[in-house]
Amino acid sequence: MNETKADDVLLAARGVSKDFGGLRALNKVDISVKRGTITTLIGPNGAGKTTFLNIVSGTYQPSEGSVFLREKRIDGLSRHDIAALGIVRTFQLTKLFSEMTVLENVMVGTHHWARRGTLPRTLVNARSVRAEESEVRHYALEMLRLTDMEKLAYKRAFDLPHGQQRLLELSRAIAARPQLVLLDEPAAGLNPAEEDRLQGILKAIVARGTTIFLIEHHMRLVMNISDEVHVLDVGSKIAEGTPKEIGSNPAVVRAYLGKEY
Amino acid sequence: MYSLENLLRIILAGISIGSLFGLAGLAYTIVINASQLVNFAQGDFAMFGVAVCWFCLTVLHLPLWASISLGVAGGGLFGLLTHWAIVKPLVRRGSRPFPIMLGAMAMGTIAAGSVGAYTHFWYMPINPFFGPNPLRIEGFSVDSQAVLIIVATVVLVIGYWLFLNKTILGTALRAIGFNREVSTLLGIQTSKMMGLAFLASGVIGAVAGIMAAPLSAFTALDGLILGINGFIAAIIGGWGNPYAAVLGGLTLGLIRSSLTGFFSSTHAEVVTFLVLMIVLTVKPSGLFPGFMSGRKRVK
Amino acid sequence: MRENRARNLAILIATILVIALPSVLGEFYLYVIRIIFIYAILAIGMNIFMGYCGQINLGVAGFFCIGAYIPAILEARLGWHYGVTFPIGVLVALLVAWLVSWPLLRLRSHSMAIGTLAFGVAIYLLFERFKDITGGTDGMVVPHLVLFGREMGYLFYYYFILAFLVAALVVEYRLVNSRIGRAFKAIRDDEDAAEAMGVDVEHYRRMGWLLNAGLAAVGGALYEQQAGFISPDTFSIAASLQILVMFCVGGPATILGPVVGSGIMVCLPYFLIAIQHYMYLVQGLILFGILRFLPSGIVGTILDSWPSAYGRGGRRSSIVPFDGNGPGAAIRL
Repeated sequence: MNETKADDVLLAARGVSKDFGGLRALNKVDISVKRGTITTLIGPNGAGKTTFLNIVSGTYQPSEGSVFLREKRIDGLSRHDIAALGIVRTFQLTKLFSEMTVLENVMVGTHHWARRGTLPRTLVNARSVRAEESEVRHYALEMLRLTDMEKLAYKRAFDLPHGQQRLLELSRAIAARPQLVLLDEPAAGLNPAEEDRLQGILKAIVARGTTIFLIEHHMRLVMNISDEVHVLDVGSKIAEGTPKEIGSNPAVVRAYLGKEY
Repeated sequence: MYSLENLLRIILAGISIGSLFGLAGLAYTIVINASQLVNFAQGDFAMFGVAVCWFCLTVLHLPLWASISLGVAGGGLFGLLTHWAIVKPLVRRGSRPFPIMLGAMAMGTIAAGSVGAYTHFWYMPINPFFGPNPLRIEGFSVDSQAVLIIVATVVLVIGYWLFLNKTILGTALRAIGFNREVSTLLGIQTSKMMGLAFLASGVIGAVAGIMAAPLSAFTALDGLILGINGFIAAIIGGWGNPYAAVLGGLTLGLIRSSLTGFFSSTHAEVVTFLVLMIVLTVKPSGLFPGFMSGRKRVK
Repeated sequence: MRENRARNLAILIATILVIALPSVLGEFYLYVIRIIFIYAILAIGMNIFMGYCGQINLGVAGFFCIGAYIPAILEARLGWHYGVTFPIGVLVALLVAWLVSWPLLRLRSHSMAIGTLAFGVAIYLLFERFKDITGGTDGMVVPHLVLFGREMGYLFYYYFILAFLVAALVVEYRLVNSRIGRAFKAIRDDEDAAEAMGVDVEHYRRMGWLLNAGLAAVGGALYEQQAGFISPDTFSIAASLQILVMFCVGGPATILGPVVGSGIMVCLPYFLIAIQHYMYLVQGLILFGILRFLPSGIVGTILDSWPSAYGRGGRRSSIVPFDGNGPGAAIRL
């Protein structure tokens, strides 16, 4: 049952290349992400994985090729417009709003879909604004309940230990009700127990209908949860397939210089 | 009015005031390259040096060479004080850059405030070093002090280049500018290096100020203006490139001087800011960003 | 709920005090308090843009100047009514702010500091140079407002300015805990993450900038009428820096901080009148002291050490944007 139906594809990068001056970081990369799956991008350091993510999220423009969200072309749009279309990301080095509370961090996630708070309405404290504020607050608390962080709601984000910071970043992304979540090494710096917890959360996210695309180095996690794996090396895609297929692909093994998980 | 002598005088005036700005820009760049910080007290370091020199000359009646040395030392010491009192503690706290720059500005205000309290914000005149008579070169008369500034600037820039490239300390300073973390791993004490950068910037600022003071007497508040102009010189010339900053200063000086020479002087500041806005909008990396940077074009 | 009742009681008491003040204090003291109110409005604008949104504006005196001079010129030279010149002054300032926002908001950090500083100086010089219209450094006399045939006196101005201060505080309060306030704080803490969450950073920065300019212009329009006389000195770089110090001293990213800061810095020269020449030095020392030892400002430090302030967890929920030990810090030893 591995048919690739065209309308199952949520995100499609076609022929994407990226040049930085004289350096070609990505070379004609084709990656499709099917709706409702967990797709992982792996590859040795410097392969261009984060560059690819940055192109999808709108941080960079591709030098060649294009990126489609279903039929809509999204390369060239601003980062916040892409976020508003339903593509939300996390970062390799945790980028939280460190001075804000855990709850406020998650509430920012709702910014693009809870939009009744315009300047005039906010200044006169309109009833619609007050109602939405309350709604957003409850929704954010709900998100925290899902990741078991409800008790930390009023703690300053900066004061959290690393593992919970990562989790907060993820909660914030989910609060944005995205179609597609882009995760840049979500397991980085997590101990095995936290990694297992992450695994559970990722599976729960997909079960609710959100698609996940992630970059990862923790091979155990990759093999456990991925529906599909794409491999980059020095800017080009060298393999794609199920975790099992990738694990036994000689080109992949060579690229990692014999690294095993 | 359009005589050759007049033109030369304008050019000379432009180059001498431009050297002042350029040295201030150089001093800014030293600190920027060492710490990614803009030292908003830069101009006040210069003013403080002038104040100490003036005090030694006028109140203590010390000989010129002693007064100049003490003035330069004063500027350097104030630089060190700024680093020790505000930069180091705030960096250790993990402060964002802007509060640290504000802190430097506070130190500058303290310098200006102290000097001003003593002088009641009045002028601190210093006589030209070689006496009031102009030099005669090739039949033209030129201001001896202006020549001195230009010579001093050239010497300082060459000295700075030698220091950066030919001494171990200078190489260490360049290293922390490139990559702080790796530098600490290599055993370079970044904190002491930053202190050195502030010391150097204070010294250079003081030298520039003392050279220029005989041309145009300083008041306690002139530090801020000099600081702004030096900063603009660094931006216009090329951010992060000390030699470009000097060129930027010269450019700024020449623009100002030609305006003063050929038009009325009151619009010099407005034009300076217009130039700044134009450069920031059109060519934010500056007019001479690659000057002497040793960078080859990437193919 | 107990905190809410305590807070409402405090607000009530403060309101009564402030309204009753003119019955106990003489004209001079009321003059000083009016000035405090006006600078508080300016500091609130800075607090919104710099404290909550994390940007830099060293040229706020420029908008203060426009907001003061435009109405003054229209009143003195053309005899227009304050009710008309006030909004015109603010609108002109907002228009200028909008226009310069395009080049200026492309800048960040130190470039933004210098860029806004340059703007402030340029505006100052502009109004100083056009002596024919503005009276230059000699200053300009402004006729007092005449309502219903009577010239308005110091009592009217006191309540009039107070009303605007209250309005500014309400604006601040409503912004801070709203979607917009969160957008501002997100931009302050991490622009990239804010964009990734769908916050249009450029739009909100411009909004903060216009709020800062608008409040400064309101302050200017209030200032020129109540003073009856204006000169460029009030709007120099020194003024921008003084307002900056007020905002720092009071407490960045607090609601009452700007008022406290303004109160302290406006009253200071009067206490130090015997040692006038030391004013500049004292200002420098205060700024140094705050940055080094009390970075949260006065109000901020009080709130930080108050365990149950604002409900749960003290103010540690939304503090000092100045000291970021988190990912925002750009320099480490």
